[in-house]
Amino acid sequence: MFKKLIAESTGKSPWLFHINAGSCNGCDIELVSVLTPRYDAERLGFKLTGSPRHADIVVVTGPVTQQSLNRVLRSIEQVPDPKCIVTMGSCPQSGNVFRGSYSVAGPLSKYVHVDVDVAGCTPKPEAVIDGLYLATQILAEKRKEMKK
Amino acid sequence: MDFPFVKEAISKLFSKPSCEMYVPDKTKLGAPNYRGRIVFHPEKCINCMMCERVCSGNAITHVIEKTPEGEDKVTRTFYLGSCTFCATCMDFCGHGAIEFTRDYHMIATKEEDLMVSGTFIKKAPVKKAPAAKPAAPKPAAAPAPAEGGKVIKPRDDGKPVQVPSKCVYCTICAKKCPAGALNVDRANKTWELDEDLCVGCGTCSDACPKKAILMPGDEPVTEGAPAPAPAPAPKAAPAAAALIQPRDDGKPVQVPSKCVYCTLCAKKCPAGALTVDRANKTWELDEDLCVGCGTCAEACPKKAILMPGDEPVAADAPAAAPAPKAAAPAPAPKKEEPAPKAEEKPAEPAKPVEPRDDGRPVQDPAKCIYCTICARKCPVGALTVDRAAKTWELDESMCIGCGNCYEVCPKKAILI
Repeated sequence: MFKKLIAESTGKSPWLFHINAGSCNGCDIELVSVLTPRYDAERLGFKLTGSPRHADIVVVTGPVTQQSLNRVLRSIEQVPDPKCIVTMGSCPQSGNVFRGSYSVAGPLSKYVHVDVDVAGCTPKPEAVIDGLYLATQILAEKRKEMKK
Repeated sequence: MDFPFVKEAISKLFSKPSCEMYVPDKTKLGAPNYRGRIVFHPEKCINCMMCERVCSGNAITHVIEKTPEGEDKVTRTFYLGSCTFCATCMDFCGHGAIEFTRDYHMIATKEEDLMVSGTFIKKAPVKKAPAAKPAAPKPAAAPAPAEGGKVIKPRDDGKPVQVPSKCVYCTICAKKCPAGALNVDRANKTWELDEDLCVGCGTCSDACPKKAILMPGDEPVTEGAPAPAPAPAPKAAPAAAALIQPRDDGKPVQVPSKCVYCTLCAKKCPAGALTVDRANKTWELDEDLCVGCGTCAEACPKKAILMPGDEPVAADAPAAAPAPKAAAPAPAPKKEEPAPKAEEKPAEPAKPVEPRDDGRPVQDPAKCIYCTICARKCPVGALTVDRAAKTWELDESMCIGCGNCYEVCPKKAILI
């Protein structure tokens, strides 16, 4: 009975874990503004968590530098299934202006399966909420498949 | 007791929340001038590739296929996942083929969803204006001996036309051409346009420092008397006469009395026509290489280079630079700062220090506190100041007489 209750409530309130993989801080600031009162994604159930083990959605910003690559992958591995990986901004998708740099190991899709791309440099907070909303739908589908 | 906020608090209970309501509405637009999703208009594109060159994120790519008719089918793709939305491509596009919309909903689960692309067929160079074509390259092939009174009109097929009387063959247009369609030879004074490569973007005309390239819409130019042949006779030798006149062939003249031989002009010269030796105080102009662009005069911090249109300058205006040592025997002992300073300072600190007449700084040991600020601000590193040993040394060969040390000295201990 409790298992069912937990499964239902986690679907309603996906927790976010934010990884800065060498970002310029632009996307990080926009992600925070999504959670603060103006756009207030917390009223939709999103909550920023400090530990990857509590998270359902991983938001990655930054071009995934050589220094951060190992830590990013270790953090993502610790997120329990089902999980959804969202890239925010152009950097984790392609490297953006840092593409081809000796210190950039990205794009992130080389290493893990990315579920949602939110394009923009940086994306508007409304676009980020759109992306997170899409991520919750993907999460719900993944949950259904896991039950089978 | 006064509760000033009670009224406000109660009224807020019945007002809407202050947060932006989330509307899952994909048609909502960003603020005016927001740079969102790119829209590409392939019918306007001329494939000059300027956008691809200026794109910082390498987000723009193209594929060219050959059609059975022998035309190029160009597909240009914008990858929004690599775009910084800086709009530089839009600024550089001379034909308005790139547009940034206010649509910010760029959410994708697949990479293809973030691709914006357009296909167009690049027409083979139009052969419709056979009359205009030979007219244009001809004056290019036969450059200098163009008769006066000839009118050069811009072409009507969007391609550039050279005005030989204005052209200095500096090759800047050829360097800037995104399509590599221009071939300019400085030595032979030829300017050739490859009709097949030219995309008619107008970059050459914008880059020309002499406005010697006409594009459609420009005023026709009447070919005036061509610039006088660069006769080597009026050499920039420091004529002993009273006035130094600017030359009339568009080339620079040095004013030796002002020149500090800092070599900036030589470094800036795009053609490498100047040779300046700081140690021997020589300034030489290679007449064949000089294109008369005036960059040296602009770069000169001492305004010691005259270009046509400048005022003539008296040859020995402030201080005769070439002969400072011979003409100034009196302040000579003052020049040797380091060694005499040590002895002089305690002995006769009141001795007045006179400024030198060659534009270089002199230290006043009575005022100097050896703070080393002057040495740190010297652009060429000509000053060596030791705080502990209380020495102030000037490297004569390096000093360019810019006066930075004089300006930064907090104790006004440096005389110029």
